[in-house]
Amino acid sequence: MSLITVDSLTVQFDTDEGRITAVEDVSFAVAPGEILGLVGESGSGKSVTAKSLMRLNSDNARYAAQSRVVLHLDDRKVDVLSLRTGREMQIVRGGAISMIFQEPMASFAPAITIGDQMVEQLVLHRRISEKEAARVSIEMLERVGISDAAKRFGQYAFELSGGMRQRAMIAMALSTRPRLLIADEPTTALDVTIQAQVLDLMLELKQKVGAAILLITHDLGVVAEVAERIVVMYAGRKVEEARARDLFANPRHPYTQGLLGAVPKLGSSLEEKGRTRLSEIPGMVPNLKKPIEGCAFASRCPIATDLCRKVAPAVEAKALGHFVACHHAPREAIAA
Amino acid sequence: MAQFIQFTLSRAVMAIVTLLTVSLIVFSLMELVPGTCAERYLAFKNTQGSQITVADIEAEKKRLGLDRPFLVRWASWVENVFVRGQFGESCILRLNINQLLADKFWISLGICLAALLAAYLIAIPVGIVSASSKSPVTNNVLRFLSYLGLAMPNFLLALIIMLFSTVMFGDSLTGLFSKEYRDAAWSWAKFGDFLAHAWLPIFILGWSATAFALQTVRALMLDEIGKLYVTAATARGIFGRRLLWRYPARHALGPVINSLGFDLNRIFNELPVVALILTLTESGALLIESLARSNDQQLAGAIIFLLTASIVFLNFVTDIMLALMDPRVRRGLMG
Ligand SMILES: Nc1ncnc2c1ncn2[C@@H]1O[C@H](COP(=O)(O)OP(=O)(O)O)[C@@H](O)[C@H]1O
Ligand SMILES: [Mg+2]
Repeated sequence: MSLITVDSLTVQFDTDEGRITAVEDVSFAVAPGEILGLVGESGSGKSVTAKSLMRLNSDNARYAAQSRVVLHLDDRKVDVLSLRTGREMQIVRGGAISMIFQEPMASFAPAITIGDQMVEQLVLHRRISEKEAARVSIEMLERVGISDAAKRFGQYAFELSGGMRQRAMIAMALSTRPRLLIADEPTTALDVTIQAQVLDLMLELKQKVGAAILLITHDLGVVAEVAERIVVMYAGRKVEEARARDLFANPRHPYTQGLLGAVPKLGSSLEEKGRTRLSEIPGMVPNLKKPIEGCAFASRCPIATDLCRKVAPAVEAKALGHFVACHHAPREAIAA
Repeated sequence: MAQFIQFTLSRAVMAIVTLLTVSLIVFSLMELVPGTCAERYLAFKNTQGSQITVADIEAEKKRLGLDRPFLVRWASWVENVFVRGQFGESCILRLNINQLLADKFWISLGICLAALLAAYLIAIPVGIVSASSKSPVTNNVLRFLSYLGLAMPNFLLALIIMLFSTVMFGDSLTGLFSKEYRDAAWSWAKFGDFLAHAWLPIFILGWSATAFALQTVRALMLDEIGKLYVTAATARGIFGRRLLWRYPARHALGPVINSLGFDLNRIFNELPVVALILTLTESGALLIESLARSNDQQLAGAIIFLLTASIVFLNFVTDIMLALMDPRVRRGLMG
């Protein structure tokens, strides 16, 4: 049973220059306690997809009618995209789902103490007294390895070091005991040693709290380290999904193959992987303002044919648990 | 705490240094006006029919201390102003400037501050709510009103209101006091009469000030609303009024306070014109009069200095307020 299922998610934005299709027909699911990596170049629609799970996209976002995001809780199902009021949305905003962002400094309100922001959230979601919330917050800060937690509790974000802010943000996100933690490029702004520490911390806490993690990154090295399953996005579409092991051992979409070609072998140090970026495939990402005909990757693809330029490939299972959107990806006999 | 006192003191010292610099500039400008106070007064006497000799002028210069070097005269002017609060005598009118200005300065400062206060009392809530409002009607009405506020010159607004009132009620709404109170001592009745008149200049000055302040508040709010910490707070389930006031509004207030001093400055600039039209005999009009008609540098200097001092003082106050409000400043100070 999945914790959250995303079905045919299509998100468009109305802008001054017209309608942008940021995410098109993306489906995936996150199982309880699982770590799912969401990978793709900058602008491929990762953040928009993740924000859809919390209905956090700005007001100019349009969700297509057939899009479904369903959160499966123990006692009920929540149809996320049909939530309307702020109170209704609390179930996915800080309730069952928490999100941490790339820039911890900018994620804390500058003129409110870390502690006040943690307590506010706890009181809102866990119906406990402020005093109890303060105790839980300080304990949580201790658990993420912040020394002098009681003192940090009363401080402002600008008074903490970069790594400490990232830890405080993780502590805040997990303090409400969410079922899913969305981490949007949580390590991109950090130097490599702290990156490794933060990843370890997320893994450790995930074990303890039992939350699933949707780990968004454009850094394949990071997902290689921790993700169990990986979804690869390109130009707002899902192009491949597989268990991490399978994806790295046997990438089936030419885009993923291109990405992996630019990545050091698995098992090289995190430091080397940390430097790997996804921009090393020649060519340009298509313009999202116009409808894309055929396969979005066709213009950069070494094996594209006329078929690719005309007809968009559907996402199909090409091996057990290995889904690819490519006309030319070889299909294996799928054993039952 | 000790550091906060230290901060306040250092700001006070800075304010005083600014004022000294201003006084030097003002004093130099007073000196640049061709002719000295003595010459001007006696020339003025001359036109009234008195016979004046060179010896008279020399004697008058000596009496006024004009024979001393520039820096000494500046120092004694500064000493009089800063220590005794005395601006000396006006060149032409031969009256004590403090007496001449007394009420007038405080009245005009009061009118300007009231306009500033009214502007921000309206602009802060309206700006905050409108920046977060998604209703196109609200936004367009506000946009139209603030364009009107910005585009319509104050003097035009004053003239329109006066014309309207004269035609409708036979009262041109000029002046600050009714006849019977004009020279009376201050009393509650006189104060009431003053308020009954002062609303108009306050309204006119506050009109464009509100439009400006509204634009400032809106722009600052839109800036804050777009920041990541607001999205992050939304992602934590905070919503509605709590989200609005505790996050973007609370954080936009610092820069809003910062713009106060700037706006007072602009209101001062507009005061003389409004005062002229409404025939208010307070300092703005008096300033123009003393500069243009009688070349009274002592009086003009005193007025310019007082206006500048008000702005320097307001900036000092807003600096302290900012330090109290913004933890980044406060923590930097108090450790
Ligand atoms: N609020 C918005 N308004 C208009 N366009 C947006 C908005 N948010 C995202 N987009 C567009 O959607 C596309 C996907 O963005 P995003 O999901 O942030 O990419 P990334 O994979 O780097 O996280 C980009 O082209 C971006 O410009
Ligand atoms: Mg992103």
